[in-house]
Amino acid sequence: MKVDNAGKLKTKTITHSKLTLIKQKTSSVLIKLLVRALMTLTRERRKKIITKIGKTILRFAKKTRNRAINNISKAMPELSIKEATQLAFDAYGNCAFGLAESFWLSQVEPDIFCDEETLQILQSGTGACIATMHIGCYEAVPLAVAKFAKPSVTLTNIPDFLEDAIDFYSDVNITAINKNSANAFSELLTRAGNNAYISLHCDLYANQTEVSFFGQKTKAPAGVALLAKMTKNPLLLAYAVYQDDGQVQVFFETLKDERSDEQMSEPKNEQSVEQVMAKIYQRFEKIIRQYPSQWYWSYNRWKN
Amino acid sequence: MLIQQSIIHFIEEKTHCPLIDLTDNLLGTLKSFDFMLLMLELEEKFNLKLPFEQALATNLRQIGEFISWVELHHES
Repeated sequence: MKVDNAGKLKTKTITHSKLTLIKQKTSSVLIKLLVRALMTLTRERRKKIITKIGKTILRFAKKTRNRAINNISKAMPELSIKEATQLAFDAYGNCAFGLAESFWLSQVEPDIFCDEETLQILQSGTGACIATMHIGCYEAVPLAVAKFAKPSVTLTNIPDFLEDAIDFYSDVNITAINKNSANAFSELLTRAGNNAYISLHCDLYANQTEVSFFGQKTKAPAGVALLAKMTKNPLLLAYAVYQDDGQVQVFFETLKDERSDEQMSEPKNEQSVEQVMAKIYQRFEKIIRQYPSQWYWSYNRWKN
Repeated sequence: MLIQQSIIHFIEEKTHCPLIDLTDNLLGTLKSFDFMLLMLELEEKFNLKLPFEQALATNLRQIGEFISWVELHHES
């Protein structure tokens, strides 16, 4: 008797992809229902619930919890283990809310702060590359950009079951490019060439350029600096943090080249990508020290 | 020729592969980060201004096509 293995494999693959599709659809519907239910509550109530859920999740996620506590202890050795643990829980709860707010961005009205020079860049319409971080309300930076300057573009890492989330971005005039899509990079480049304001989260680990972060050597993504160099667009730094009353504040800064005019007139003396990223990371560190309970400490940030 | 050598050398260094097929997809061979580095390196080395938004157009997908495109900008 002959067994049609190829046929069996094909049927198995089809069943598997059907199952995946069903899983994705179910997850998508559940998330939508959950968001809809949360939307019936006040933002303050939502914050309380999501922060609590975040803290509870961390209680059960041993690996994530230990990583956060380790990272905090490495970065701020002056803290006791008790203080580091408390900070890990507070930060995880706050970040859960910051992330969840991506689902109702149209309800987020951030206060925006910047100096005159940065304001001119944002209003010029000629585009900029913006280095941002996973602190406070994660997507408030592209949201603030969309209010000031258009088009506002960001790169996101959306899981398949949440692809509908793109709607939440387009509702507030943010173009979200899915990092996982095949043409993500070419789309990003094209947008950059069309005077877009591109916000890129660059506080995660990536094997691209060496930086010093909280006194330790590690590596960082350098895409934002490279993109700024390629497009000759200004490079900004921005971050969004929560105030005690829940209000989101977004701060924009221009990353100035502090070399003398004489040094800058020489093209060969242009700041290298490493130097630019080092500067961004120095600033990131200061911001995190200022708002330690709003940064996401659970990444494997110092993996090398 | 110099441009071709530079591009191939760059790709060889990044991919640790001594044999580069010019019909291979450029972005399938290089990471996007390395592609940006390559563009900047070429601009600096050959004093070029490369319209990067064109670089990923459909007809520049292959390494060989990318080389010809850079050479064209060098000549003009």
